[in-house]
Amino acid sequence: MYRVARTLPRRAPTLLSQRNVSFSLPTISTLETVKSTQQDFKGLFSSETVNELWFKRGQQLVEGLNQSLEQASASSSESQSNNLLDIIAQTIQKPEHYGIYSYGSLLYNLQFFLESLKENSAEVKLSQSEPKDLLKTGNTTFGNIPADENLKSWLIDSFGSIEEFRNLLLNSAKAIKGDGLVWLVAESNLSQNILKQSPSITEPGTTKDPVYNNLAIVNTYNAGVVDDSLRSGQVNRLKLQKEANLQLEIDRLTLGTAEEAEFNTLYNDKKLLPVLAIDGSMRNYLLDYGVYGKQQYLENVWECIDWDVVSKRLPVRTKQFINSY
Amino acid sequence: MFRTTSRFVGQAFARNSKRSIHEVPKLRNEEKYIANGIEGLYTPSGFQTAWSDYQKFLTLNLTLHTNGTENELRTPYQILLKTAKQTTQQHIFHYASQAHNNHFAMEQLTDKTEASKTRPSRALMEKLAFQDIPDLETFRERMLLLADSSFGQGWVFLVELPDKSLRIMRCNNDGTPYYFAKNQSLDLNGGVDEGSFEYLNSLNVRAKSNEKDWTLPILAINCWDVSYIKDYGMTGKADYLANFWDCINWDVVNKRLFQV
Repeated sequence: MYRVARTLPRRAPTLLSQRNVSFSLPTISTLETVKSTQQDFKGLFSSETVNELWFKRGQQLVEGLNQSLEQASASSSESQSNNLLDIIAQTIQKPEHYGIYSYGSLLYNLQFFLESLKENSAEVKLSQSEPKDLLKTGNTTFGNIPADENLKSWLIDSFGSIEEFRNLLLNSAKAIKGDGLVWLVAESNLSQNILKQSPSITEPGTTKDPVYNNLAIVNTYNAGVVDDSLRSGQVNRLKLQKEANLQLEIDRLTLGTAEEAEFNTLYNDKKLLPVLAIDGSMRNYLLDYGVYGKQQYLENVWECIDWDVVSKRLPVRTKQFINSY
Repeated sequence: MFRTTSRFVGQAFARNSKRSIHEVPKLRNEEKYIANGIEGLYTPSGFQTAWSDYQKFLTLNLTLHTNGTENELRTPYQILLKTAKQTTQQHIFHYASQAHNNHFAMEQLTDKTEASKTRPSRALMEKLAFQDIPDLETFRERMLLLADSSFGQGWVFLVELPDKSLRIMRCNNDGTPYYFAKNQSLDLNGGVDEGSFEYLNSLNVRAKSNEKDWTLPILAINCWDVSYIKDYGMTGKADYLANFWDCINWDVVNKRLFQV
């Protein structure tokens, strides 16, 4: 993806030795089965799409990542972590590592999405949608409701009902025009920091772990990551830096207000923990459903969500003191 | 006098109340492409996905979203200009901009044997030389490398600025070359460097002062998955781009350049 294959020379293979860890395509057992049996991913993808989506595109992302890591390690001595999340966190603020960051997070997002899925046991025939399908109202009858009571009640408390959650989730995915994913995330309390500092509430010995009390839906585009507390405030910081420089020049350095300082740290411990991802990019449905098939694809994805996986990813729920009444 | 006025009003009303829908524009040699694909680039089914189906998808959506509104009778080009600044009409902008770009890019393609008979005009190459692009090979590499090295969907344009100089411009997703604030050249995922920050600021300043943009596209390269997935697969972008270049009808491109 990063080079025009025919016109430009490939990178010399000697560079491989300079970095002793390199990535390989992770194993997703359901997809391995699809590949070895040459059968469809039941209810969602043809075996050809699975091959293209994961075994070819996934491999391409892995190669791109390895290549950019080699290039970077040739010029600097970054820590050689082999954990994708570490790599993303280390490179997200560094424009010079845009390639590593992008390949890393694209791979992470793709894997996260595909691992959220299971085959649909019901008989579903994949077919190309037609122009008239654009005029259809979405299907309001659906199955695959989460069985886990904890997850279900948390979803209902956060979104009102499973129907409303499903509508919001699928419509958010449908609204993505380019590349992107919709995520279900557990959201930590915004004002943790401030609460912690207030003496009446701080309990000695409490951990710094974020407290999750709400589920929310977030879209990311291209190589975006959910937890952007990692990166947030970059533009703002550049602006402040610039202003500070200007003020120094005219020798009138002033301190900010307490509110400004508070606002700047407000998002520092705001955490979004992803528990479910759905890829809304065109490539996922073009081959099996055609240009008009996004709605059908998304409805089929819903039926294939593996709620067991989602439950396992879920953090401990902390109910707010003041709940619904 | 009263009667003439009322007749005039009646006529005007009749004209305004005419319903029209956005349709897929007719390409030169379209029947041939539908039957045989574009030689050297698309099979018939690849052409169908990239043009017939996708353009129908865009124009149909455009009709659905503009029906009964002021944009109903406008062309996609007019609609994209009208909606570019409207934050609540970005979904309409998407369909208009995509429909226009896709048509613009498809118009410049032809069978490989036909394309090989055409050359970029001398005027075009002379202008490119001012941008440190001495020959066609360098031009090809610049355009295709930018197209290939970008993540996600988008377009790469060769554009003519108001001073008649040429630039290569990358537009992410549904970005348009016609209006600077909707070029969408930046990807703000990952680290933001100072150059991007300065560029963002300058966009703000220009937009606030209502600056007009007279940039015009000369050549477009379609980097959307939909334009190659059928024939080249999800990982076939590089091969597609190389073939795309070989099928450019330079006679069409030459005519788009400002003529003295």
